[in-house]
Amino acid sequence: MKLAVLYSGGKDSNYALYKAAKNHKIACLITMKSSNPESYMFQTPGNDWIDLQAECLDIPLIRVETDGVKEKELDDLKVALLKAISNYGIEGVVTGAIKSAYQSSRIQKICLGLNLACFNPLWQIDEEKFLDELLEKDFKITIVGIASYPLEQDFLGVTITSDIKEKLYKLKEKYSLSLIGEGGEFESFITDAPTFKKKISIVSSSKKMDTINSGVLEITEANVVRK
Amino acid sequence: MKIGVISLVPRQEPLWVDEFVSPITKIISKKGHEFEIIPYDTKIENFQSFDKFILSGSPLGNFEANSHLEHFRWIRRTRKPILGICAGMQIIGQLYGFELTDEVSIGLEYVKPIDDNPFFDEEIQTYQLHTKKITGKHPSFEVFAQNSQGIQGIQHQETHLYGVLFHPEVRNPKIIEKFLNL
Repeated sequence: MKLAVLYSGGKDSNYALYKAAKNHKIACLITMKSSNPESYMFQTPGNDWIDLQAECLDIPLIRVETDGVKEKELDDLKVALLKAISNYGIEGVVTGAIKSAYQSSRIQKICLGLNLACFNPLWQIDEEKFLDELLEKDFKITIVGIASYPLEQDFLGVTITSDIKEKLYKLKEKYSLSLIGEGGEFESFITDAPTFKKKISIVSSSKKMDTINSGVLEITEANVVRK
Repeated sequence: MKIGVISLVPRQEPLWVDEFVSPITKIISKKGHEFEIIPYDTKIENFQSFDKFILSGSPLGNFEANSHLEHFRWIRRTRKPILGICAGMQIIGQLYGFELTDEVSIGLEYVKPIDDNPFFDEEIQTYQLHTKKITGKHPSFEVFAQNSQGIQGIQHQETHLYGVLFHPEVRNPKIIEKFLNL
């Protein structure tokens, strides 16, 4: 089947893409660029560099602007899907949805209306298992957003390794943080993955903090390099 | 205990097995039980080795399994506990003469119990993902849960045969745990 992946550049949509690509053709990526930093539907940190990820994946990217207004965002997504159907003949959509009934149900409704199959291969996945699989498969996961105590700016820009995984386990035990940032605790950006034909090198970045426990890593320069 | 998880996913598409079957097996594993995933159109080998069965849901708008009831006639011949989820519940209903009628429900909805049952005794929030529901009645079945859209839970009056239209593996894993504890 020809599929579109709803792509945020983070670990969830990248792993969903990896799973889908085993048996299906990934015809395009769809990214919603939201002017609302607290979009209900679409993760926003790292969004400006998704074009580089698309280049690394060698998959066309449909990028749609949205004001990020709750529910109105979905009309914008529908426009993107219609474009994907028209330009790439997609028959289904893949998402990296894990627990959010809000996200998942809205995308299911849109897919039903457009007669598209809807795949959510990470649905209800065990967090520990997911993190282990990401590391085993050599996904390079950089933290580009934090929004939870006790995470502070030293967590921004960190690449998740086995050591960081252990720190996350301790944070989960002590503070009930999600190991995979499912509660919005952190957002990620993938610089390399098994599906990437090239990889991304982050050349420069700066940390922008709103509060002591909330901020983003703004990537200011990044390049696509050979693996 | 060994649980047979009957996958109603069309063509056993791996992405949908991940979505509709794995969340169920995750709950089973967490409670320390053994399971085997069985495609719905496959003969159940070593039937007697299974203690219970769970029929999974299937993707929205897909009725491939519902169109092949010949693969589910074993349900009427066994007294082993069975829980049907969404499409699984529809199939149990179809086997006993309930009708499938159109009803689209996607997302979070409240469901209330209207009769004693092993799973819940007060209103619960559930995750719904279907385009059809069951209607009608059968003398062997009680409706134990409903909402404004209709029947949400059925139970056989003599055997441990249950069906829920919502997806407990998403918001109500305790329902599956209670089924495992029956």
